Amino acid sequence: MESKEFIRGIVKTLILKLLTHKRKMYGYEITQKVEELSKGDIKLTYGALYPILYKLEADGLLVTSTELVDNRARKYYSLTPSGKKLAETKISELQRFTEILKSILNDKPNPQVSFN
Amino acid sequence: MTLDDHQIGEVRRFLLERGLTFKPLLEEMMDHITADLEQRMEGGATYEEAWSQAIRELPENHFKIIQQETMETINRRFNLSRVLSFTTLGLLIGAALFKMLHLAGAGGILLMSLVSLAASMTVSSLSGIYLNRGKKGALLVLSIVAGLMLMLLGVAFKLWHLPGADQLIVAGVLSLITAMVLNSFYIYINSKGEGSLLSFLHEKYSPGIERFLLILLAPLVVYRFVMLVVAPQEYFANIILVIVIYGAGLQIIALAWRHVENDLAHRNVINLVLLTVSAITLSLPMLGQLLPFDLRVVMIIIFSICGGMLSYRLDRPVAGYAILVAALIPLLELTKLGWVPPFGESTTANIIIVGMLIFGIFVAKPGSVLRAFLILSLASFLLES
Repeated sequence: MESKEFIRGIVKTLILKLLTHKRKMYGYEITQKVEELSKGDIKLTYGALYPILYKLEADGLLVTSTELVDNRARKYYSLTPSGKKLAETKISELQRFTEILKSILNDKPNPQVSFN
Repeated sequence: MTLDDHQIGEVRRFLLERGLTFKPLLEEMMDHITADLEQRMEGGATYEEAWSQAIRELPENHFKIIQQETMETINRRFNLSRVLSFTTLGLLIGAALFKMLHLAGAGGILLMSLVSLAASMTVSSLSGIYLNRGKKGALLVLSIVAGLMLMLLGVAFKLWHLPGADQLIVAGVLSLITAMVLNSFYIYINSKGEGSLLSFLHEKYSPGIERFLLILLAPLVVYRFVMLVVAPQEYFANIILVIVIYGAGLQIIALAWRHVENDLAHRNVINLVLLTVSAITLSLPMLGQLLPFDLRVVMIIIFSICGGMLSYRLDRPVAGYAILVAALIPLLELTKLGWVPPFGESTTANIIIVGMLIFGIFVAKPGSVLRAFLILSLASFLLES
């Protein structure tokens, strides 16, 4: 499983990304989708997911609706118009950042350079 | 494969034992864990194996921490309304103190407190409606807030001896009664276990509302005993007591609505009738002298009985207390009609009755219908005796 410190910084963007593709999702569905797309490498815990969902809702980026499923109330999350705008921005920022990281991590030290 | 009711009950108990008390989060965690268990069972695990796998790696305080972080997020969101609530509280207590000490400006402070209360309700409801745009019931929230605002405006007009005060109060009372009766019927007919926007907002604000009423009531209890010894009861304490009574009455009705929405066992004709009658008999006495005195007394008696019955039916564990207390206010009202000899005026009677009510408030579960009913009864006793 990937390091928690890396995941913590991108959970919000992951949630926004998933919700751009699907009109509405519930909490468990979000964790399952992340696990599926990461081939099991990223498993979102309750503690990683729900405070962020509530924060996004509090900030007006997500809106919720409740439906009765199998005799229990299920809360669905979907993006508001401002949530969709932010999702676009955050996804492209993360993609750009990933490219930058790749170029840094792929850089091989030049054997002819010395530092004395 | 879906879990049966017993298994779902186990999940709920597990979460409650781990300190998850905030209802929206509790329901969401229940759905998450249940879905997780069902998926594992579909993969071939037994219920016990699925349960063990699902909770194996969870630290002891996991859910409490999640709840704490979530509540911090929510409380930050409603910061302005909390500031306004504390401002209202401070101004109401300040107005009472100024009046007690015969200082100038008490009327102005009381007026400011009513403005602050109106602002607090407006901010809370509008922000709640905006942030929960997907939930149904915005119109109901607005109509209840509008009714309360009209009443507050009417009271303010009365304080300043402006024309139109009675008309505003009548409009507010009728608006509130209509909204509350309609909501009672709507919940009875349509509710499927999910909460409406009004229930969602009330659940968030309910602990704060209860604290507000208790903080307002506490100095009035002390003040009452001082007045018994020193001087007759002042007018200002009566206005604040009326605010506590009406606030607690609305709290009873809102808590009862949530019970009826969330539990099929409570969704029956008797509770519907109790809610409808409560809505009418709580609000009509607010018309004051526009209604004949005897009729107001009868309304108060009926509301006390309905409130006691709702407490008994919905909060069974300490139910006997509700029945005992439900008899108190009607008896007190009947002394006004001369049907029962006066009993609430002596210091001994005050100590016993107030002591009994305060004990009940401490013992009753926070956020329960019974506690709201006891707060209302204590405020009513202080007002009526």
